[in-house]
Amino acid sequence: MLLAGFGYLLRYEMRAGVGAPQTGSWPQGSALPFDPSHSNLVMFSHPRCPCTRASLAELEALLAQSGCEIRATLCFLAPDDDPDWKDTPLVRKARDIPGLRVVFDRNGTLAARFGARTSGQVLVFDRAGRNVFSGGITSARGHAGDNRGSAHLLAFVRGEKTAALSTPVYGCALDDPAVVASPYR
Amino acid sequence: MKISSFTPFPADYVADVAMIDRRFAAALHQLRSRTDRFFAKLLAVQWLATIVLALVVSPRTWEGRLPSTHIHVWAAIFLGGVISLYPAWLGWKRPGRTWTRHAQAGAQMLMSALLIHLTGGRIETHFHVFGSLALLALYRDVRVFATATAIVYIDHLARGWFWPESVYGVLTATVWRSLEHAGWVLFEVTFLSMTVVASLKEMRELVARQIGLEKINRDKDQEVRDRTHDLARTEEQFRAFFNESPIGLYRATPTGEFLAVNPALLGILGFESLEALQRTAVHQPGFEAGRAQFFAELVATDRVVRRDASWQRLDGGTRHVRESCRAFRDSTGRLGHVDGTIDDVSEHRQLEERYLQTQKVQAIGQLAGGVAHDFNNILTVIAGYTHILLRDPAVKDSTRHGLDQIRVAGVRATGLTAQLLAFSRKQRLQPRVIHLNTVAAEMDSMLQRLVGENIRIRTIGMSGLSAVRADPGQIQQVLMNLAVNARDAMMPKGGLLTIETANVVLSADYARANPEVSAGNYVMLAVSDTGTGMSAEVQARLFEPFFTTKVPGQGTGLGLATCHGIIKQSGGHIAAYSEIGHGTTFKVYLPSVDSQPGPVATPTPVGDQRGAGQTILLVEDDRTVRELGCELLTSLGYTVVPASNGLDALERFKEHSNIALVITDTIMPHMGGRELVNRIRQFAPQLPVLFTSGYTFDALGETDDSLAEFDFVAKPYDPAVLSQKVDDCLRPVRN
Repeated sequence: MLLAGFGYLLRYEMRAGVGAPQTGSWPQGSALPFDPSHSNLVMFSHPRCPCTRASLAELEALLAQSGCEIRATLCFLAPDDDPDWKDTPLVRKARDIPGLRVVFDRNGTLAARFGARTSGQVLVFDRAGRNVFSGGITSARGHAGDNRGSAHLLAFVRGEKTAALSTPVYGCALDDPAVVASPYR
Repeated sequence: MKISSFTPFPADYVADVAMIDRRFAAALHQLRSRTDRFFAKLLAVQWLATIVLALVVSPRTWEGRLPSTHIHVWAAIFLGGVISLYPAWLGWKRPGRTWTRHAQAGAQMLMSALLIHLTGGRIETHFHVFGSLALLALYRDVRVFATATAIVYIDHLARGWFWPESVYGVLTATVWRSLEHAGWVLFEVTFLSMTVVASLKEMRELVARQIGLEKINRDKDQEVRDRTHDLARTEEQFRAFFNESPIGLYRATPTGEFLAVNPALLGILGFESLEALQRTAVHQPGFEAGRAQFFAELVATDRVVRRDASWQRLDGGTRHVRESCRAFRDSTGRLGHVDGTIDDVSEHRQLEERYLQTQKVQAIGQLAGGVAHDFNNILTVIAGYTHILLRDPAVKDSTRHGLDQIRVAGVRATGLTAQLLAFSRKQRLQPRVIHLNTVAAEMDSMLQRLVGENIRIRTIGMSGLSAVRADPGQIQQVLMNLAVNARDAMMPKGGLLTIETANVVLSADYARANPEVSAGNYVMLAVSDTGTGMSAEVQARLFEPFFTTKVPGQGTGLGLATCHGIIKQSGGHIAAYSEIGHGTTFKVYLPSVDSQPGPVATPTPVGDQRGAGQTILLVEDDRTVRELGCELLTSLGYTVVPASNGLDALERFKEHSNIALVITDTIMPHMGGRELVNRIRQFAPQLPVLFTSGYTFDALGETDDSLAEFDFVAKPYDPAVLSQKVDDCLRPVRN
């Protein structure tokens, strides 16, 4: 039972959500403006996802080391019918992170635009608007600490030459099941 | 296990290693059981804490706007339960067992793993691992570290192997990374193990010290018990000594107030209890004057102080006591209390007084006896020559009257010396078996004449009265003296004189109180009067010779002394009981005898028996008596060969072969009468001998029993008695 329990727990933690497809560049017509003077980082987050706390902690650490080299934006899913989603501990935490712009993604419009479907999804674009990273910056659900995504982005902001990379995203789903099942997605 | 050399106990206290092993194992078991229960509680608390943690940190997971319970919540509840419940149950129900603590060690590590999961791998949560290891050190069992370490290492190794990113944050990691993680655990475990080993050693030493202390305590307890027992025994012995002591013991305040007294002291004073005695304490009037002054002097010294005192009893009686006390001070020199002994010397004092009285009487008796002896020699000469002169027809009438007065005075003087000899118990008694009733009856009319008409005599003779052996003439003398004494006590009013006889038994107690008496059967002759009675002082000197309460000229002071002497010489006892104003009773006790009185011999008529020229050897050291004897015997028709002492007589005996009789004084210089007779009888065994002496025959018999076979005539001898005695001695020869 112990093995099964821990195995199931581990399996849950290690089970990645649906990652965003490789868009190649900054989506056209996005309501979120692109800043060509900097590299642009966009993270999509579910404001009530407990796992995303780890992603936020990783992002904070990354921003602390990147200086002003990257413009970071955190898009919180914000349903129109529930204003409480805009004032969660996670939102408040994000607002306190220096250099991080917090925006609310009304009904997941932006997420859909960028193809993000899992809380913790990070997309990084260089100054030319090319997508250089897509994925999560934690090694498991809710697990802070060393991980490939953070390591890659740290190398990127330091100006090291890196190839485009895609990593698993660990977090709650941004879409309702009904939306997931929608033929419009 | 070797005990440390610095253990501060004697070798025998730590020698019992087996006991130390047992006690150490028991202590360890107790400690581990306690730790098991602690971990049981801790696991339960941790389980609840993980549930709370999960509910707070990650209560729900989301799919868009649809929440569901987070798997962490279920993991905290169910996985935490699986981890905690069984080891907690073991800790609660099976404490102290090896499996229990290993199970709890494993559970604690698994709980760490669960917490790490629930907190998203926070590095801080890993401290739970190290904290748990430290807590596991409470077991003092390095093996539980092995279990814990193994679980931690297997967890890391397995996850590092299968999902390295979950442990190391990277997709690939070397085994060394796992070893590094385990290494830190081992680092702590190593030092914890060292601590545990040291702790076990200290625990064992503590157990050894505890055993040593218990041994010392047992020894001390035993010693205390022994000493307590000894103390109790000593106290009991002292209490018994105090309570059963035949002399009075007390403890008093420095002013003499009794704090504790023993029963003997209460008995002396006639009190029932200390409280009663305290109420009538020393300062009460009538207890004993001068005691306060005595205590004042006593506390001024540290020595034992003694005194003789007279204490008044509760019933008014007086006890003579000897009190010995000493004041005691405490270590600061302050006066504490006074301990004292009270020896009731009343009986001793009484005996002492009686002894002194006896000594006095004996001294007077000896003096009187000696005087009587010499006086008898003188009287012999006076009476003898008076007798010779009165027989001379040539003596004129006027001269004869004077000679007759000399003869009467001689008779009176002879009576006086007889009384002197009587109280000094040196007169010759002629005891025989008699009935005191008969003696009293024979004297009835004579006594009535003696006491006069104002006094009525009542005689109560007990029927079946036992006989006694006594000289009836002397008993009559006693009865007469007592009657005269009673008469004088009742005069001039008159009264009742009661003469009573009875068989009595004098007990051993009576004999103890009167040492001159032996216990046994006696015949009592009591003479009671209704006169004025006597004071205690008079009673004390009652039998003292020459002591009299009568006016000069009316009493010689020899009456009761004579009674006392006669009764004592007869083997009896005389006592007086008197109360002022009520009269006096004299009780004479004579030992009863089983035989009955025999017929009374008719005395031979005394007259001058004349000799027929027989030769008599007369031995007398007193010249005048010797010359008188010669003249008397010659006048009676005998031929007398005088000799002045034994040696002289022996010479004369050898010179005269016709000696028919030897008349000899008893006590003489150079050779006494007894030795003389022995010498003579070597030549003439059948030669008659007549002893004579100024002492009584009984007095002489006290020193020479063999005299009893001889005839005797006491000085001063009456010429008629002498002639009769000489004739009696010569009669067998004539026949």
